[in-house]
Amino acid sequence: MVRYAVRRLVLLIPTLLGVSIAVFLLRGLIPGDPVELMFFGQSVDQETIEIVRRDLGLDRPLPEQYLKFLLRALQGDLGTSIQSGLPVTQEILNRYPATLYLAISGTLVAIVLGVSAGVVAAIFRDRLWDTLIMAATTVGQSMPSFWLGLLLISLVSVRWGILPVMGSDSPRHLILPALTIGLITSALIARMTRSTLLEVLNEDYVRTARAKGLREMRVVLGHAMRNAALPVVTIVGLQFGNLLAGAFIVEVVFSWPGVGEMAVTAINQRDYPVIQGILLVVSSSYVIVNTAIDVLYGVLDPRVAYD
Amino acid sequence: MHHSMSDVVSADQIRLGQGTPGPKRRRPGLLRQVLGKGSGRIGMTIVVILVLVAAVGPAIVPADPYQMAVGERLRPPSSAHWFGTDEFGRDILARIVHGSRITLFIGLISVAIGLAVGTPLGLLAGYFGRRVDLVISVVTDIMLAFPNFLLALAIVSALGPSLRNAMIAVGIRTVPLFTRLVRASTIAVREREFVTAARAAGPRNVRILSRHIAPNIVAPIIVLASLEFPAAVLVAAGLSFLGLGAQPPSPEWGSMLVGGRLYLRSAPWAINVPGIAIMITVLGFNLLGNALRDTLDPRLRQK
Repeated sequence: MVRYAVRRLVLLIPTLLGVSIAVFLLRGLIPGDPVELMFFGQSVDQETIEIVRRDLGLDRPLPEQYLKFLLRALQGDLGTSIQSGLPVTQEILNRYPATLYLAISGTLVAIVLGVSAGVVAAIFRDRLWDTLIMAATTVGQSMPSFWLGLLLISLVSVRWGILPVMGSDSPRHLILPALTIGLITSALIARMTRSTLLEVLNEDYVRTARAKGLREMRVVLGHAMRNAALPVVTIVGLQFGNLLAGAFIVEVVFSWPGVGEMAVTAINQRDYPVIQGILLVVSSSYVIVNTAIDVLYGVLDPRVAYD
Repeated sequence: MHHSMSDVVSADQIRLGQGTPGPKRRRPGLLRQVLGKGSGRIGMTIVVILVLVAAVGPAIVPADPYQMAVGERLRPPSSAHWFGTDEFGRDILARIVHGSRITLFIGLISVAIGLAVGTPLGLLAGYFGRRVDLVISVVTDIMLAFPNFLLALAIVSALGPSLRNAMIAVGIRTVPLFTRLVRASTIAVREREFVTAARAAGPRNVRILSRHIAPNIVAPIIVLASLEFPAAVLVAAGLSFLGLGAQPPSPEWGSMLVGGRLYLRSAPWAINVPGIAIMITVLGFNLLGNALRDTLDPRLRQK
């Protein structure tokens, strides 16, 4: 079990390195010369361009540039924003809490809605509630998040005037974005919960519990749920990691001042240091969260360790 | 956050074909089986309607999707404009119909890229193993290490916002999914007896690949393709909504929500019509994909 955990952790470093290489190489995809792009619209002579190029170290061989990039990143220096002139790391740190806040609330909503729906669907298997819930989840997974968000806004904020539309000044601002995320994510969680629960309910020990005469509720909630919990927790964790990577669309729809919204603005403004910095931070955290979940899963389910 | 429904299915695909002896097995009535389920029928209906709309719609609907009419801005649905008009006075029905072509195109191209690049890579990795496998797997795993939407976003951010780049980005995002699936399926099939037997008889590698392995991995590939299609549509629509995909005045459904957003209160149809169109399209393909998966998975059939 420990060996499994160690193995997964050891894989973490090369994966992170690979991610950093990919993010670094992304810059190579950009059409046009990066230095000339910086002076877009201004008339600048060739000599100045060369000076700037040397200044930024862009004339050095690629592996050297990468190492510099990596070393700086490890020290917390992700460059400076072209638009604002502020250090990228600072800007990311300013916005990360908002995204974290949103990710946690969205996941909580998803858990509450998804797990309860999944349990109900499993209990009433193949009957009306099950069919309804399964239909709802299929529809839910087909819904574009930006449309759902706008729909919620138009219904709740505009028509009924209950909740505010944009920004994040008060806790009430959190409700709609969290709900948007939560509804869509809950669809997947509901399906997972249902199918895991159904599998578990078929197992021998459940049959034993039933034979012993335990009430159905006790069987489901007590025995079955505990064993079904693990895959569901895994999925929840993975979804959380996904959200932490920035629910870009939802943040933009609700003008939620998180990392995702900043990324989209940066992309539209061609602010490459910011884009690169966010990509790096966000992907790395995604990888770390996933690895943590993997390790946790290995710890909690000893069967996995005998791989 | 936008993941395809194939995410929780992929591991199961590996076990596909376990009950299939011999190199190839005919599947009569696949269509009939898929249509047998209610959900499959709905999905198929939606897909067929969508294809029809995309194919002949623009010819039938007379209005010009790009024609602005300042006097006709934000009109609600009426006999003149069945779906109303948008913020520039353009007929929404026409835009939806023309946009359906774009939607289908996006899905097709993205899945095609994923298939065309991912399948051979997966085959090579699964069949030849060792160093080839190592290189391909490392690259695939790194790409899979990025969150779903983020990978496409990153690629578009580098290439620049346009529909073409969005399709490329979504296509690239799809490649590792196919590579992983095909590799796993190939490995599962490779281990089996008849391949060893065929090898003993001596045909060349390519022959084994095409004759024995290929037919047995077709099923999971079909399922993945049918489920990745709607995922690609969602991602591309999301990119367009963010202004990073299709650019105005293109009648792509995702970007239609951008303009209508300002008029949420006064003209909800400008947002809801394209939004529902996206949802129904994705739903249709998801239902079809689910039905295909349920049909092609022998585990379920044995129940």
